[in-house]
Amino acid sequence: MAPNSRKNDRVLQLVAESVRGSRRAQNELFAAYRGRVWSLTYKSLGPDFDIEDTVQKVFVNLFKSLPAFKGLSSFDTWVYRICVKVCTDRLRGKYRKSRLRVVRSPDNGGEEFYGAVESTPGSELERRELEAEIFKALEKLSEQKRMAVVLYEMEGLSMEEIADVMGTPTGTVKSRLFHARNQLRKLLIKHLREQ
Amino acid sequence: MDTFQNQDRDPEIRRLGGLLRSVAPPPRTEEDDAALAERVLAEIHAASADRPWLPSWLPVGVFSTLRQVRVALPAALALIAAVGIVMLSNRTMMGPSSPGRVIRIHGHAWSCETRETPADRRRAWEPLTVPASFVRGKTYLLDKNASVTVALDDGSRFVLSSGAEIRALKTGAGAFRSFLASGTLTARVKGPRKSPFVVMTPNARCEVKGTRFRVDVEATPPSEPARTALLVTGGAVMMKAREGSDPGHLIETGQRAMMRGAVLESLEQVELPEVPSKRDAWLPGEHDGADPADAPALLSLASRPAGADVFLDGKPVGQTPLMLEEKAGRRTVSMTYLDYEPADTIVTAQPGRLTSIEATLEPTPPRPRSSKPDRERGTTKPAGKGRRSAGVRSRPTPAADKPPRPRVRTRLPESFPEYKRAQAALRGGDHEQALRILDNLSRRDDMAGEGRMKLLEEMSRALEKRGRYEQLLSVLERMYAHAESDVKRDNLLWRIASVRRHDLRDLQGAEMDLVAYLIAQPDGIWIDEAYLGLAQIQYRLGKYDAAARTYRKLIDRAPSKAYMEQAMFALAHILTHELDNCRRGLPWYSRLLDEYEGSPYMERALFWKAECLRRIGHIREAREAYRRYLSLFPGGRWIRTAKAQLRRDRRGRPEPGGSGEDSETQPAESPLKP
Repeated sequence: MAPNSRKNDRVLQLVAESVRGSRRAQNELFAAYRGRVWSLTYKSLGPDFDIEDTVQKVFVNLFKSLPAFKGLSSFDTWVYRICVKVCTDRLRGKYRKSRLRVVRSPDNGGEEFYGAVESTPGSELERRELEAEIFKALEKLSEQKRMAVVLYEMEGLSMEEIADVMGTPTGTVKSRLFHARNQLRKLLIKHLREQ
Repeated sequence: MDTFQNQDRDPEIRRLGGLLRSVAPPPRTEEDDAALAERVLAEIHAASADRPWLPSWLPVGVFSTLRQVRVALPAALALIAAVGIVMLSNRTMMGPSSPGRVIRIHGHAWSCETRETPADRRRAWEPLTVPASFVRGKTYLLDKNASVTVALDDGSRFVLSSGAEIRALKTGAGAFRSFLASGTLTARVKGPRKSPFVVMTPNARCEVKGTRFRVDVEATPPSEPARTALLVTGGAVMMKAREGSDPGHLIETGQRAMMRGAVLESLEQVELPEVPSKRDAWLPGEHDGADPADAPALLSLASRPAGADVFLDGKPVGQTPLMLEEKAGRRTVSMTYLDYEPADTIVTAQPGRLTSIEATLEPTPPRPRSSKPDRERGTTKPAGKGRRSAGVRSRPTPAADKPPRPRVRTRLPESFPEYKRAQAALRGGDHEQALRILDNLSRRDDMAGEGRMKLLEEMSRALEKRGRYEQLLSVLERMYAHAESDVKRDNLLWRIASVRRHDLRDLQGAEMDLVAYLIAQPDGIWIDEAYLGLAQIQYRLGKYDAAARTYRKLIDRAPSKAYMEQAMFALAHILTHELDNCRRGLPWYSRLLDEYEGSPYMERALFWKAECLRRIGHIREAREAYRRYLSLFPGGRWIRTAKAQLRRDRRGRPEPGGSGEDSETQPAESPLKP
């Protein structure tokens, strides 16, 4: 049996057990997908949002709707779909309440809490600055274009997978990606020429 | 033709891909993930536990199974019927859906189940402490000198005093009904309401949909008819006899009605400005314990014609007729109305007293238009950088001082050829040119009001896209000056504060903006966010006392659950970590834990509560809290510290190296610092 097929069977088994209420299976399922969900959430929303809270929301939605999973698409696609939906909702929420920023716990002396500049090595600081610019550019895109770019360029999904996740035809995904890339190129041109 | 495939071959697009792929989420520890998993699973299990009719042994997937075998409909009907029977047979066990909250108690108060017979009640009374819920099925009794403040979920509040005895008949879901057996109830009811706020007394029923009033029930012997006095300090209240076919009497502002039995004995006009004592203040219990000099003053503002814009110390506060609760002292009140001369006056508002101001505005004598439109000349800027002293509208100069100018007919932007040029420039990416044209157009005398707003909005969008926030601010301030609707002004004030805070990183300016917002829009759309933002900025600026006060005000407003949790935790944190006052911080951690089980702050609140208890010498309670922490958060951030503290307290000496592994999160001895 191919390794992929074995993996799918294991996931489906975990899903079935989770639906029956097995805490162990739920834990295992969480561990299997936490990395992917965390990564997609961070890349979709950027550091201005409360990622932990969003990831929590994704998993809560995921576990609550597990009984509705029919196996018509792959479980990975299904997880991505839930994650994209939650992130899009968050982005729209941000649009509605413009510039409401996340407030994290003041446990760490308030530095993390208020996004103060951290005393990190120069390269790290540069990376963060570049990342901030990338997210600023991504913010200028519509939610759908942004999600298309994130899934294709940052998460490495294929066109067909993105179409499946977003529930749109492949042509639409291509068009969104085409325009999104053009827009990003204009916004990030100085970094593209410098390299 | 440029296609997607062609784009893939473009080196810049390839570099763009590389750039995007370089973004990586910040690293996380396994403990963080374990804690997150714990929270997720706790939330899922709590959600299923929230439904009392769903047995815990029932698997989560039972409904999908039922659907698959096509028995979902009969099963759902049976379930609804069963729940209905349970609810009908044991209504009191279901509890209220959304109760009121006792937020302040001065003196002694008690509560007991209403089911208790009067004889049983004597031993059933339990002392009432904050936090407590004001729930259906309970009776509350106050000491003669005590007062209790209750906040309802819709923002209404009432204060009980004079030995009140009250039974909550209905609370939550926008409805409120209570039975006041004796004592005084002073209410500030937020309206408009879907269902009325009702206070029943032994002989009367007082029903309102949004107003301020006070009900006094005199304790009378059973042989005599009951007496209920009603004083209305704002709006109107329908007062009906509980028995008979009394159609009711509408008691209006400034009237005091006395009902004896089923008869309206007297209805008199009272002088509201003459508030004789603190007992008769707006909501007396709200200011109990505070210096009477700090009590707010009441300002009643009216004008002829009504609907004039009112500015208090230069800040817009609304339109006449208006009742304001403001800080006492010397205040400048200005009223303006289109085509009327503005009126200014300085009043000395007395604490706890009502000051009435009535202005008759004189029509402006006809005069030629000045070089700038009226609204442009007379503006009220929000506070902010360079605009600290928000001004009142400037006085128009006498017509004789200016040369006569012909009256100009206003036009919309589309009728100007320059507008089309600006649009073309925007499409072509020449933003500078477009902004210049739009700015010139927006300053033209013959530009219609709505057209000017449209131009300013276009400018603001273009400036925001280009990140020119200083200029954006000045455009937003111009928009604020021209905004006609309250909602627009509300949003603009909030946006100005947001731009200054997040884009310009000008925290001092943003602090001023948010203070201006709180004053100008006390019922604004962003009011809770403004309190939260202000508290965060004050914390960031090191104004810990001010931040704590702001968080406290936000909590008193009873905002949404998420804000409440956040504010409570932040307040407790500031009190314990920054102000080094464990005794004051402890109740907030406890309240957060009691009222918001499953909150994302629960782990931290529980741990810091244990720490606070240990620091103030309550070792036994601290040990219990540590144990609870360890049982609830087996993968928590401070498990080693908690274990070490438990061992240390048992031995009476510190555990050597007991908390070394999570030393980065180990609290210092004093003050509490993470």
